[in-house]
Parts: sequence; C-alpha cells; structure tokens
Amino acid sequence: MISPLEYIESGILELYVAGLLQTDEIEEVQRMADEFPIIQKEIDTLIIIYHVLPGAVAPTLPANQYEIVKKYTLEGVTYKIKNNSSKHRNFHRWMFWMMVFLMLGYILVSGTYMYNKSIEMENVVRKYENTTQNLDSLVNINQNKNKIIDQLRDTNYYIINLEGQTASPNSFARLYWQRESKSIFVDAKGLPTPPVGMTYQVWALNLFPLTAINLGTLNTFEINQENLYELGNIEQAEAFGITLESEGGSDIPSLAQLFVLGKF
Amino acid sequence: MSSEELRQIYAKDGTSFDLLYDHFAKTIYGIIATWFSSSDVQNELLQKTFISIWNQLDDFKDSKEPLLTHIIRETRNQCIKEKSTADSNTNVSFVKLLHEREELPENIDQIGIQTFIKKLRPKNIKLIQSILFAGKKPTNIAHDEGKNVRQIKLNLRESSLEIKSIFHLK
Repeated sequence: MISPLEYIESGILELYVAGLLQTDEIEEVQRMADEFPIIQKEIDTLIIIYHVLPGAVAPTLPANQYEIVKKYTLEGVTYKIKNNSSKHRNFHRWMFWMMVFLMLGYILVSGTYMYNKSIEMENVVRKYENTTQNLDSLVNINQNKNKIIDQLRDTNYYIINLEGQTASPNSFARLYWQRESKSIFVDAKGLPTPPVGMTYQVWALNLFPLTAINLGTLNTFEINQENLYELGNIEQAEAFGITLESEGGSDIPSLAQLFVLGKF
Repeated sequence: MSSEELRQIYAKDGTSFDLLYDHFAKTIYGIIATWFSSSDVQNELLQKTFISIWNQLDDFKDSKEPLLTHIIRETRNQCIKEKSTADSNTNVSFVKLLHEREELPENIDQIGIQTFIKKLRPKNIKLIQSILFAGKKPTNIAHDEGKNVRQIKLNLRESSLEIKSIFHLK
C-alpha cells in the first residue's frame, strides 16, 4: 500500500489537475483525496499553481473582451463567432476564387483581344496586299496609257473619224492608224454600252470590191473605262466600220448593225 | 476560489458569468497565448472557450474533477481544434510570454521575473510547457525524450516543488 506522501511525490496529482489522466486514474486520485486530506491539500495547492501560472503569462486582456464574451456566452450564440471565423475563411476562399476568376477572365479577354487583333492584322495585311496589287495594276494601266499616248502623239498616225449610222445615229468613234507600223488604235468612247451577249467588232473595209477584214472585237468594253483599244495590223483599207455582233465576233459584218463608219 | 463562489458559478445565475470570467479569463488567455501569437485568434478562442465551458457547466458540476481541470482541458481542446493539425505542440514558450508581460500578478512581480526564471530549471520549464500548456501525455513525452513515464512524473513533481518554493507555498 502506497503512503499518501509517496502518492503525492509520484507526480500523479499534477497530471490530475492538468487534466491528463484516464478515467480510472481520476477515480483513484479522487478516492485517495477523499481518504487522505493531505492529498486533497496538495491538489488545492497545485490548483493554485496551475491557475496562477497561465494567468501570469497571459497578455493583457483587451478591455472590451469581457462585454463581448459575456454577450456571446449568455446569449448562447455558439455559432456567432464560428460564423465570424468561417466568414473570415469564406472571405479568403471568396478572394481566392475571385482571383482565379479574374485571372481566367483576364486570360479569356486578353486571348480574345489578341485573337481579334491577329484577325485584324490579317485583314490589314490582306488589304495592304490588295492595295499593292491594285497599285501595281494601276501602275500597269498608267504605263499602258502612257505608252498609247506616246504612240498616238506620233505625227505619222492618221486619224479617221467614224460617224453614227442608221443603227445608232448618235454614236461616234475615232481610229488612229500608223500605216508604216500597221498598228491601229480605236477610241470607242462614243459608242453605247453593248447589250448583254453582244460585242463590238471593228472592220477594215475596201469598197471596190466590197471586202471586210476583221480587226478584232472590243471585248473589255464595260471594264475598259477609257474604251481605247489597240487592234490587229492592217496594211490597206479604204474605210473602217464598227458593227454590233454576237459575243465572240462574226466572220462577216452585220451591216444592219453597222453603228459607225468612216472613210480614210 | 471558495466553495460558495464555486456554487454560484455552477448555479448559472446573475453573478455566475462574472465570477467565472474574473477567476479564469486570464488563465484561459495565458494557455491560448502559448498556442497562438495572433491577438485576433487569441480573442476569438477566448470567446469560443467561454461559450463551451458555460454550456458544459452542468456536466462539470456532476464531475468530481476540479473546475480548473475542466477549464484547462477545454481550453487546450479549443486550441487543438483551431490549429486543425495532428501536431498539438504549443508555439510560444510561457517563459517568453512572462518576459513580455507588462502587468504581473503581485506575488510574481515581487519576486521578479528573472529570479522566477532562474529558479525554475530549463528542463522543468519545458516539462510544464508540455504538460500544462500543450496537454502532452507523459507517455508521449517519455517516448520523445527516451525516458520512462515514472521519470517524467517525478520531474513534473520536482517542477511543482520548485514553483511552490518560489511562491512560498506550503
């Protein structure tokens, strides 16, 4: 049988007051304390020590804590603080997801923006290419015009005015013919736009006997805004005429559709 | 605490809360302070612990364990819950907290902090920290330190005798 002093010196009472004993050990200490007042006295002393020691190291309690703790405790708002705490955590969680959404939004918006920009850039490049092509085309047209103008300024060109005939009295055209080089230009600005499926065809005519030589069709009438055409070579002709023919041209002129005619 | 005061606390009447708070708020706050250094967490845990203790007063009344024991145990449980980790060690040494204290209990203040700490041996400081503040079981401490449980208990008793001597308690 252990003596009360030995029991005290075993250190079990410290564990009892500190709340670290198992149920059977607690019952044993309580039994011993009931039986031996010296043990109960030692327990009371340890209660003072373990009560004072944490209190001695405690930071100064905030002045408002008494009111807050009392309010929460007596109102039984056991979840109020927990809610505050979870609200705190929820706020962090909310902040985290907000950040994730913002990041995703940023990636999405910037991605869309970059995609649109790249499409825009492609369009700009395409427009630039088209513009360049158009510019090249314009330069070519301009060069051709200059070439034609230079050729027409040659004083060796004969100018033949073609006047409107019964089929189109108000029409007119002009023909430039360089006999040495045999080249011919036709200014068809005075002709109406041909109907769909029809085209103008230029003829070199010899009157005795009447023969007609095909010099070519004015196929690009609607596109060629200047209506200035360089045609095939001819060495000898007494007159020139332009008829309206079916698309692709005709082997012989349709005299009923003779729009303009001019003698050399 | 007198038996009359204890009866008043257990009665949960008009004066119960004030008595409970006056007597134990600092003890609870001191234990919490060795677990968490954030004053926000300390204050929140003080509130949680008081609510929990208040709600369990009837159970404590039926038990023969001292009220202080229930309060110490409940405070540590709240700290463990808050920490949400298997590692239930305290973070802050109670001796370090003692250094930081501005207002000290009269008996300790008279002795002087340095004297108090000088008289308490480092191994006993560590043991009190583990047992009282962290609630570590002697079997676990013995395992960690390569000692037997009996030796740990004897060291614990030795620390009590040191403190009793410093406080001039018989």
